[in-house]
Amino acid sequence: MNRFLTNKKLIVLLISVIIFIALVTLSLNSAGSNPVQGVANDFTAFVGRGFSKPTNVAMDAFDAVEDVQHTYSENQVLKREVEKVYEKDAEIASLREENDQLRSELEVGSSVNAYNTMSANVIARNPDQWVDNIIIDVGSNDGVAVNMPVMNQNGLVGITSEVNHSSSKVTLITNIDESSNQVSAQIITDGNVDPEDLEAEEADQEDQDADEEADDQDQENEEAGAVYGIISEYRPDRKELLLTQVTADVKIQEGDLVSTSGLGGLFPAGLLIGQVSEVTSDNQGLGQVVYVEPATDFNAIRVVNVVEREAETIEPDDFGESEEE
Amino acid sequence: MEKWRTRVFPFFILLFFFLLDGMVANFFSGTLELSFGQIVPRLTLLCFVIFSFHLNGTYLFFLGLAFGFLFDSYFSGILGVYLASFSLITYMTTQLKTYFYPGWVSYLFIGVLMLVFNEFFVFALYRILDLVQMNFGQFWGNYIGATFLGNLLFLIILIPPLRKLANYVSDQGGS
Repeated sequence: MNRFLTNKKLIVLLISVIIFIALVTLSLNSAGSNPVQGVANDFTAFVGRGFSKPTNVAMDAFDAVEDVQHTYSENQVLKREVEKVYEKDAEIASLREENDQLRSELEVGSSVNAYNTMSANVIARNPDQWVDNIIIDVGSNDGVAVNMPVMNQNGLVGITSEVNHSSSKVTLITNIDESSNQVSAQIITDGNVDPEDLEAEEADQEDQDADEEADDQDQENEEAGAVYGIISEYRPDRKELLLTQVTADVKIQEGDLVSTSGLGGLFPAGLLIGQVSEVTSDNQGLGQVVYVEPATDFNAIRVVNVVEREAETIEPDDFGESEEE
Repeated sequence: MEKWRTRVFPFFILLFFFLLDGMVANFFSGTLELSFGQIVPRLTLLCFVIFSFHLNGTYLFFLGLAFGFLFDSYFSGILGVYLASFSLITYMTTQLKTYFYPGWVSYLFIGVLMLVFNEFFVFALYRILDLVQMNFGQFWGNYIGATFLGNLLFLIILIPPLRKLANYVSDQGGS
C-alpha cells in the first residue's frame, strides 16, 4: 500500500483521471460556459477575428472573380425573374396591409412570424465535423442569447448553443439527433390532397361524429397548404434532413418548400429550411417520411444572421419535459 | 528575450496553428471533402509532434494541457476530451522521442501514430458520452482514411518550416 502511495506517477495519473471525469461531468451538466471558459473563448475569438477578416476578404475576392465569369448567364435569368418579383412585391404589400388590418381588428399581439435579425461573421468551425459547431463574432454584449435561431441568406443554419461576451457557438442543424436540436417544421404544399384520402376522410366524417372537430382542423390545414412535422435527423450519406411525424393523408410533392412552423417555441415561423427531395412512408405505414434538401450549403457559411423571435418564447419548464427544439 | 524565445514564442506558434485549424475547417470545408471521406485538419497536433523533438518536455506537456482546454472550450464546449488527448500526446511523444533520431522518418512515424491515437481517442470519448450518432464503421469510412492521408500531406509540408522554428526556439532552452 505504501509503495503505491509513494508512486508519484500513479498519484498524478489518479488525480488526472478525477479531474478529467469532473470536467466532463461539469460541462455535460452546465447549460453554458463557466467564467474561465468565457474569458478563454472571448480571447481566442478576439485573436481569431484578426485572422478571419483578411481571409474573408481574400475569399470574397476569389468569389467575385468566379461570379464575373457567370455574369452574362445570370443576367439573363435575373431579367426573367425580375418581372415576377415586381408582381410578388405588389401582392406581398397588399397582403401585409390586409394582415396588419385584420390583426389590429382582432387585437392580436406579436405573431410567430415576427423576428429581428443581427448580422455576424463566422470566425471558426469545429474541426471535428461530427460535432458541427461554428463560432460567430457576436455575443451577449450584442444581445445574443442561448437558443436563438441562426440563418444565412439561403436558409436556416442552426441555433446558438453557447454565448460568451463577444462570441457565440452555433450548433448546426446537421447536428440534429433523436434527443436534441429538433426543429418543428411545415411543408408549404399547393394544397394538393390525395383525392382518395379526401373521400375516405369525408366518409369518416359522416361516420364518426366524435372526430369531427379534429378532421375539420386537418382539412383546414390542408386547404391552407401547410403540413406539419419535425426535422429529427440529418443523413450525412445523402446530405439531407429527415422530416418525420408527417400525416399520411396529404400529398407532398418533390420541390415543395419546407420552413420552420413557429410551433416549437424557439424558431419563428417561415424560416426556410429547404425543399422536399423524396417522400416515403415510415416503417409502420402510419405517416410519411420526407427527405429535405437543405437550402443552406453547410460547407460555405461565412456570414449569418442571428434571429430574435418577437413572440414570447415558451420555456420547456412550462411544459415540464420537452424535447422538441 | 531568452524567455520570450523559448516560452512565449512556442505558445504563439501553437495559437496560430490552433486558429488555423478552425479557419481551415470553416473556409475550406468543401475542399476538404473528398470522395472517400472528410479531412479533419489536425495542424495543432502536428505542431505538437514536431515541437516535442526540440522543446522541453515538461513545458510542452503544460502547453498540451492549455491548448487541449482551449480546444474543448472554444470548439466543442465539452471540457476534458482534447485536454486529455493533447496532454497524453505530448507526454507519449516526449517519451518516444528518446528512441528516435529527430529526422523526417521519425516525425512521420510518430506523427502518424499520434494522429491515429487522437482520432480514435476523441471519437471513442464522444461516442461514450453519446455526443455523436455515427457508429464506428461510419466513422472509419467517412473520416479516418481521408484525415490520415490529408494530415500526412500537411505534415510533409509543415516539417521544414516547423523544424526551423523549433530549432530557433530551442537553441539554448530546449531539452
